[in-house]
Amino acid sequence: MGVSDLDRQIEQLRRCEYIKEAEVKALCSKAREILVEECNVQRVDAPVTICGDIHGQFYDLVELFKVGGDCPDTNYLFMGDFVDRGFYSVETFLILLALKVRYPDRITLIRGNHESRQITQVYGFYDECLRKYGSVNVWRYCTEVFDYLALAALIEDRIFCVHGGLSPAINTLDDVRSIDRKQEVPHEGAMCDLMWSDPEDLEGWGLSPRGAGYLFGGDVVKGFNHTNGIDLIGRAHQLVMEGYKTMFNEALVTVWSAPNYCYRCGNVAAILEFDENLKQSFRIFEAAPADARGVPSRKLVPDYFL
Amino acid sequence: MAGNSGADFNCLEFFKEEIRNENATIKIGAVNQLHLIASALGPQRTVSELIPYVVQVVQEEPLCNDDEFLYSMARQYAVLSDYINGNDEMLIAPLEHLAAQEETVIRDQAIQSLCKVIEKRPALAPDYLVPTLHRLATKTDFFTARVSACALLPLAYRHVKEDQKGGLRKAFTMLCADETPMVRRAAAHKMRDFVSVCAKQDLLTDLIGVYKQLSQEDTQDTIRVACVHATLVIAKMLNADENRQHTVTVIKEAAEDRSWRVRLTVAKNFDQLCQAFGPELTAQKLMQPFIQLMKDNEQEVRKEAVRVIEACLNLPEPLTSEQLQQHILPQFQQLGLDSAQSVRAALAQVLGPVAKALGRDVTQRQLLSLISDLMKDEFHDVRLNIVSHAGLICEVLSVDGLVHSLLHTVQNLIMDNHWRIRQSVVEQVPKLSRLFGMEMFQSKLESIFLSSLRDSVHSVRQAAIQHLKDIAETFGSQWTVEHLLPKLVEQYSGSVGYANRVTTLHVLPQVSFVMTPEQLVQYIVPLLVKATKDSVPNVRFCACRTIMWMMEHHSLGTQNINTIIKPCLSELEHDPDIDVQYYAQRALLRGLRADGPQVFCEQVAPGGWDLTVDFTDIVFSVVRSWHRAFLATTDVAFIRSEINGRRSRRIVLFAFFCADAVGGGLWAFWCENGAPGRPTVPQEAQDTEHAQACRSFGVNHYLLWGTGIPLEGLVLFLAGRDPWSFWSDAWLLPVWMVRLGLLDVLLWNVPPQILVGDALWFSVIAVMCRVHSLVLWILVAFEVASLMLALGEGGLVDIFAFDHVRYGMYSVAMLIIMAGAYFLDEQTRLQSFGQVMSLQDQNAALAEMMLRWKVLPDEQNSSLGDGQEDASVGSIGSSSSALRHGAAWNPRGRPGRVRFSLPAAAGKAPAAALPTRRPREALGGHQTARNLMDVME
Repeated sequence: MGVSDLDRQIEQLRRCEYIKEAEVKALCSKAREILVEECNVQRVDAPVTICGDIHGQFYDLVELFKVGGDCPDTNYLFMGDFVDRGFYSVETFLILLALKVRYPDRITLIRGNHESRQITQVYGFYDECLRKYGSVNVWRYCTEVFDYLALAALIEDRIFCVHGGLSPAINTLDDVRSIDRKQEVPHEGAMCDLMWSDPEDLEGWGLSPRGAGYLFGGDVVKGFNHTNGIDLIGRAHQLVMEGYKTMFNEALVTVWSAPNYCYRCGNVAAILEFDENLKQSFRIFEAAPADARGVPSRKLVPDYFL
Repeated sequence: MAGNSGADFNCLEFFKEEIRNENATIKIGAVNQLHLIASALGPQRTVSELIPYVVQVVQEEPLCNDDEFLYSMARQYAVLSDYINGNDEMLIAPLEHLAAQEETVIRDQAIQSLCKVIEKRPALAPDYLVPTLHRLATKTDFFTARVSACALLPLAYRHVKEDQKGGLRKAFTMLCADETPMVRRAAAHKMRDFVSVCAKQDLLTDLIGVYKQLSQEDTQDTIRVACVHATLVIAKMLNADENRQHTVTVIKEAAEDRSWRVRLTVAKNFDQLCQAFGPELTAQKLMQPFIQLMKDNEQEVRKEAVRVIEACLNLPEPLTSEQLQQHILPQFQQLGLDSAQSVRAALAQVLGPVAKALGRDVTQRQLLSLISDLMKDEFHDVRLNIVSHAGLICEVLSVDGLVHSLLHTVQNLIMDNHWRIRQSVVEQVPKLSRLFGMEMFQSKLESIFLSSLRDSVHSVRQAAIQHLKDIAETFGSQWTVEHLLPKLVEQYSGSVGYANRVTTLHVLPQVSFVMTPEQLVQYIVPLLVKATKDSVPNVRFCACRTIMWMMEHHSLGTQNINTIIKPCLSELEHDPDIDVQYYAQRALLRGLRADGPQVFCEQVAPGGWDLTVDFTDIVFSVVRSWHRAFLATTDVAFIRSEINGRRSRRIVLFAFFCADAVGGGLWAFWCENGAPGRPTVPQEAQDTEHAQACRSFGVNHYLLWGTGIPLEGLVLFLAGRDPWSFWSDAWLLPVWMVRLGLLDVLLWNVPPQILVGDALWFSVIAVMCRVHSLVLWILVAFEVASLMLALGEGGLVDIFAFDHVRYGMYSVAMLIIMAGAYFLDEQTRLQSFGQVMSLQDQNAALAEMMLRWKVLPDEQNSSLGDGQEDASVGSIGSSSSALRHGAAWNPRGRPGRVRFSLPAAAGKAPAAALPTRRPREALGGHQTARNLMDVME
């Protein structure tokens, strides 16, 4: 798969047209080759813009790029939950994946709790693949890629980014690095907690109402940051009406990048830009206006003759 | 070779089996591919066997109750009309049967198919369609047949004989007065089409009565809506007096109708109404109702009434300035204070064009305060709309006078919180700067415009970048270089964030258009060189891209490229970042091409430029294009469409084989038993000829014949066994190649004229077998090569010899022309096949649309009408569409998608029946089951 092919596919996906199944297959296998080389805690250089959940809201992702700048001119770190809920999970994940394959150093993808076989079967990605491609092959290729996604990222050794939060089983970053991540998200344990936990105003650890992961308090964050010499934990996973929310004396920030979540929550979204000196600036954006949303394309040529 | 009756028999049987299948998707799949069966059977058998069978099946249990089957069938009848050799009349009766079904989707599709058939063969209308229509129109057992009759009327009326038209008009009036409301509604919706095919006299005598009657209809507002649409057509046909008598009252009443839907329709179509009635009637009768619409209780109506003003101003005979001042302007004050945002937004949208129509004085007097109020509106769409006309308004107001207040507003808006507003202000700046001139721009606008280059939102920066070019062109080269450029350079060095540096790099190409190459080298190149040393990789590769762009669009001079730019890029080629490497390499390559051969020659000796990259590039592109050609002709779908064309291949191959077997037998006999004496040829010559033609590696000729011919037979059999596979072509190639290359040229060393004969003979067979153009090209290439070999072997290559020119050039040219013509022919077929496919796609789109109407009953009423109403329903009925959006994660969220966009896919999808209302009700429970936690996740 050459660069020109990839560029064409990216252009096609930008117009929200899906690419051929064979192309998805090639793309996913290339993506696996790239992702397998990445560390569990992928190192990222500043400047970088971090983004939270997208949840298949393709046109809002386009809006995100309009606000934050196009890849590769801007570097991005997406903190998981690309699929499910929205109408365009397939296009959303594939364009992110295509950008990852085309510009591996410009964009980083880490795994969220929705990047899992079980969850996607319930919340829409599976059905969408079936509907758009007529078979589950695309879903299968994509979920294989999910297993290779990094679990967390570390920006300039100072900012730790993860989808959900911390885990009682993890004290140092090396604990994360020692996880064997190439598997389905388990129901418990460190890997599960990284993707499911939430911060909460309490001391120590608490039970999570989600049924997976834990609630963790300010002292836990403070301890973790101190132990690992980091300034800030960036995470997503929870809807924030204002787009972002800092907690625990700015030791943790939640970034949410799906405006008008599920097309009805009425929230704004945010991305967080770090410039080359790690200076933070939040960019707030709203859902794409109706005229920027296209009608889903119907480009596939049906195999009438087979 | 094998006959083809076996395959045909299987087709029909296979089809019968498939549609009896339990699995719904297999069944429907079979129906959707009915045309394949028909094409395999041929027209005669389709007419005599397939269609009677299908007609019978449609009426029998269990399939007569299978809605989805009937729906697909209704669609397929129209497709079948291409396969029955013009016997289209036999499709009418089955379609009539389907048009009388209860299910709306089936009926609609049947009518569509019927229309398609009739449009293809209009001659069928008088004898077949009219009786059908009358039967449907008088069917009393259930109303659906009469609804179908309404839909058929306009088409039928267009094509029937004069003496039948009276009957059809009578049928139409009868349907308009039908006691079933649904039938009246369908008739009303078709009135517009029907009236437009009627003669004026018939309209006045027969139809105006029912038209008035329907416009008084009480129960259903959609009927009155349809009457408004019909009025558009009727008013155009009548003269002013007749309009006064018949139609004006209908519109006046519609504008005061108690249903907002009707009023909305009038408001939306007001421009067309003006056009239809003409300026005189508009001025006399329509202005008063229109004013009422602008004061309507319903905000949607007010919005549309305001929005339509712009369209009215664009008419060939637009509203006059007096009319605007007298009737419309007085309403604007009220509308400007409207509580609904969307109304104010619409008002803001039309103010620009209105101001233009009114001219400077009136605008200044009456509109200015309104404009400045709206510029301060709290709702951003209002501000956005007014700003997008800022340039136009300024033009009208001209520069002096109140321009300062406008400027002030623009200055405020460019700092608006909403980035789309900032973007649209930035887009207006070039226009404003042209109006204001350099002085005013520099003092008022420049700083804010340049600050938008540092905007936090990428799109605003992009807009500023793109419009900087206009500004630079407006104020000229000198200003750009002396005034603008230093500021840009300052912005680059003074900026903290890398994004600003990247923006500056994007700006440079825009301003470069007004600069000379010397200025570019003096001012811009140093900046670019500096950017290539930046600490942030993004800036470095942006610099590479800008450099590449500069080299493509400007001639920077070989000297400069070599001494300044090339060293930077070469350094970046070894950058740690791979994207920087990539763009640096591309820029280097482009530098090679941009400056053409001089650079190339200078550099080739020291080995500075990497030549191999360029060369492999070319090789790859050639390989790719061949690969693409290969894919195009091996596309399975395409090959299958060639079934008919290739059927004759087996016969051709069989003949070929027979000729070879007999010829080979004679040859073996001749060689083994010695040549029969030919008195006219001398013995010596005969012997040499004999010896030469009978070379056989020393093997007995009969043995050779006995092994060679079955082998050839086997290969040819394989080639003919599956005639539409690409590989069957590939089987043929070795046969020809062995014959030409091995036997003719190498073994027997035949004279060129025989070789030419053989080559032509093989090419003719290849064309008759309809091999792929690719295979034909390979064959021709091989033939030409062996011809050259034969000529060369004989030591005969002598371009001055007449014979060589004749045998060599002439036949080579002929072969190439033949292959080329064949290739073009194949491309044409490929193209027409593509068109067929796209038609099929359109069908699918239509079907999906109808399904949506069916599944969402709220929208059904209006969507039965013409397309214009859909938009209104879309915006008003947003609650129902919100419901649909809410159902995002339900696989049924977009009904019918699986089925119609992906027939093949449906094979593996759960066998979904035609989506009915059921899934939507099920949704409620599904959604309540989700707790809040779940959503908040």
